[in-house]
Amino acid sequence: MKDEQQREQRLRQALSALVDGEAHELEVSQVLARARGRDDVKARWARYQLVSAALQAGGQARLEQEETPPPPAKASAGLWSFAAAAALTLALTVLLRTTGGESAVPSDLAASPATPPAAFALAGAFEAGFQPVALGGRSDADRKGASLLRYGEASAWVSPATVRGATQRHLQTLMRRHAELNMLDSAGALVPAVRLVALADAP
Amino acid sequence: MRRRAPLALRLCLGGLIMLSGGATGAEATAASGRAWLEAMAAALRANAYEGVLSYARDDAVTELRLVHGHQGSAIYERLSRLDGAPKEMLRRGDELFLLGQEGEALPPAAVPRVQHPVTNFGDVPETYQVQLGTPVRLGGRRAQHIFVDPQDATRFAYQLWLDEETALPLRMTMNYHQGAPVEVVQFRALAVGEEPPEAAFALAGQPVHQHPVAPAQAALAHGSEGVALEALSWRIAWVPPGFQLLAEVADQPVMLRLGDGLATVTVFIDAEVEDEPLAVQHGPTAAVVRHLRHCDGRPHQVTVIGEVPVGSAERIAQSLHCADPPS
Repeated sequence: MKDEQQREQRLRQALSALVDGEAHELEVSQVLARARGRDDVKARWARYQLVSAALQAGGQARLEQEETPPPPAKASAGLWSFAAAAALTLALTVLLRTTGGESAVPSDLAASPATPPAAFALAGAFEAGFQPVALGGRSDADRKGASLLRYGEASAWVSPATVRGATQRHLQTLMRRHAELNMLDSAGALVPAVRLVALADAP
Repeated sequence: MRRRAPLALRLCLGGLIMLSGGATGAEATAASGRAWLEAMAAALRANAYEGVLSYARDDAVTELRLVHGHQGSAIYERLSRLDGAPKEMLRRGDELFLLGQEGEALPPAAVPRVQHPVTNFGDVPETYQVQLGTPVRLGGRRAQHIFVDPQDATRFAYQLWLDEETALPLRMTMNYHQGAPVEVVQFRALAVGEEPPEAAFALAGQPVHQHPVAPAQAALAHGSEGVALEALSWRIAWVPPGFQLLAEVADQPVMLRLGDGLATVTVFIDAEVEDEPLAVQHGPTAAVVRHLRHCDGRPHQVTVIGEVPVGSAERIAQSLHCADPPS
């Protein structure tokens, strides 16, 4: 059991190095070899390919990180394409569900299931399954449909995909409100606006 | 373009001057790192630029287009989502519009009474350590890598890659403490220089939301081991280091805003309990639902949402307790 945990830890570290661009070719080969036969890793790579195909439609991408300076370039010379972006983002989509368990990440979030991953499912839910949510609060219909709950009990950390129904809509409302407040409070900072605009609404 | 400076040279010279003045290498590095971040904040405001960026969290990637310019001295900005249903944020000076967002506007009481710059890398709190990384090449540009690390695992860390010529952020990530990223914002293409035409910021159709930008005010309270609330009959016994109370809204649902200048947490306290207790981490955003009884025995639902590890959100929720109503 301990060996299994150590192997899992090494796999995560190696994938992390791979995504960080710190892995050598040998390490990449080792990661892929260790991943062989692992359905969860296969699922991760399948998602990787899906996102890759989507992103590559926007341009060829290749991550380059090196010490040598680039040829002189004027920022105002026009639109300069970011070769690194697609590759990094692709790598991140793998990494986010792979190596997140290094600190306060619940184990069920750190471990990617063989079935379509939770976060992917959640994103789909945001796109397709959500009803329009009023920022001013939940609808009367939602309130009437609320179930009787127990008070004060502890709860385990859960995958976002397991949050459904009225609770899902309520959380989305509050998350959007939080994101909107952050944007208003940010005095023009980029990231809060990006988070809010990227948060999908129901169609 | 309004501003162009040889930032790398200038900031390196600043570090050398600090070293000659007796500062240690680490201090000079930190000072230089903070100077880079200040330059980034200024560059984001002062430059005119247009770009396409990717935003990644969990397994989802979203593409957005950003146009940033000026009309007179006012900042004009349009941020458009390119994937899925159209959605935009349009900033025209002190006016903010959200286009394509369903639902009602925020209730008036929820519009911030206090505007602290959050996610404010121009003034990184002392509870974070700023370090210069190695210059790298990113997307064909020379970029300065900068680490912004909290002193504990109750908050997320940040990494930024700033363009050496303009100090604009080419890539920004939020990471677990000494760990992997939970969120990435990265430009895929960026053009800096020409002011966009006024038509780029035209308002087409009726916006769903419109908010005036509130004037800045001072923070309400400080605290690292808890915050005292002025208007609400609740107390929070624990917040992450450096967090302070930013705002409290007494209308239902009661709302508290907490933050440290970079990360923020919103605590919603609802007298109506409807959701099961849970704790989730959705990318950089944690959400925790707990049920608490007030001193009079009435149950309340507490929902903590913020860009902190879910364990921190849970600890904030658990530390919330009732207090006698303020007289």
